[in-house]
Amino acid sequence: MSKICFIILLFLVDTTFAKTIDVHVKGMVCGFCAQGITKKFKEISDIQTIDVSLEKKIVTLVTKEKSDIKDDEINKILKDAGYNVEKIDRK
Amino acid sequence: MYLSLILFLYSLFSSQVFAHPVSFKGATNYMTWNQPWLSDNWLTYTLNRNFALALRHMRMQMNDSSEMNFIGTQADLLLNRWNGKDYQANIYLYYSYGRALSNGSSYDGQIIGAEIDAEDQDYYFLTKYEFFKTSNNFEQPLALIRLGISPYKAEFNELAAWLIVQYQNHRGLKKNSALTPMLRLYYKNFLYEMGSSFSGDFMTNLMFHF
Repeated sequence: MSKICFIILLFLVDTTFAKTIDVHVKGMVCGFCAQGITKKFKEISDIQTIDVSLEKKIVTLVTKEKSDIKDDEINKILKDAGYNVEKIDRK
Repeated sequence: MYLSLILFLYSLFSSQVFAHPVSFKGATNYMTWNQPWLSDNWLTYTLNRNFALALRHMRMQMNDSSEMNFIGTQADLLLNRWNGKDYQANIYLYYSYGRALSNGSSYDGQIIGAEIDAEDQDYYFLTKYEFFKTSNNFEQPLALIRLGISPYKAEFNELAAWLIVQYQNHRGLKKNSALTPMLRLYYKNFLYEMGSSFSGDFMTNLMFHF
């Protein structure tokens, strides 16, 4: 019983809080050219903040509470922006 | 292997126009390059990551001091892109069709061009060749090569600076060739370049996208 409650609680936590997603991007070497990344992610209503690091080659997305964005959509947005995704880490 | 070949194509000259003919999907770009004998203006719209359409105007001052203006539409194709961990390289092709105006007469005009570029956060290379032809058999090749170095690595949304040297060759224009060192600055979606050739000819270029 306690195990079931714990699992339900974990599910609720996972769907309630904002998510931080680190997207490792290939080809991202120019800030001028990478402006399209933030522009495209800003059009997604589930995204709260976008942070781009050229040094680490990572785009960090923070979703709104109770929101998420699928890996397929992330891949498509970055492909449309002219880049390739190396991997996606979800925290 | 292909990337190494691209990076060593120094023998190719490229046109005076540089930059990314194809941007991110849905982007509108305005680009303008200006020297006393040559101006080039592109207004592009990128339909997808491989293809863009543009309106183009080019002004050329010939060696007899007459001027030719070309106005046309252009199709830009990203033929291939290599996205590495720390670099990007591209091959573009483009074709433009429109009207050439000179000495009170107008003719059909066409431009075909190819551009190759490669960069990381420290170095930049671009080479491009362009060929302009009118229906009255006027022909003008334009070629250019650029090498650049960044004195520091700017983060996203920081002011970035590049030191670039450009060599261009266009026999038949007022100037056959020019060697121009320039400073490139960009911040967010605005990019500006300014330079002066060793003959004292000023160059000023601007790009922005939204």
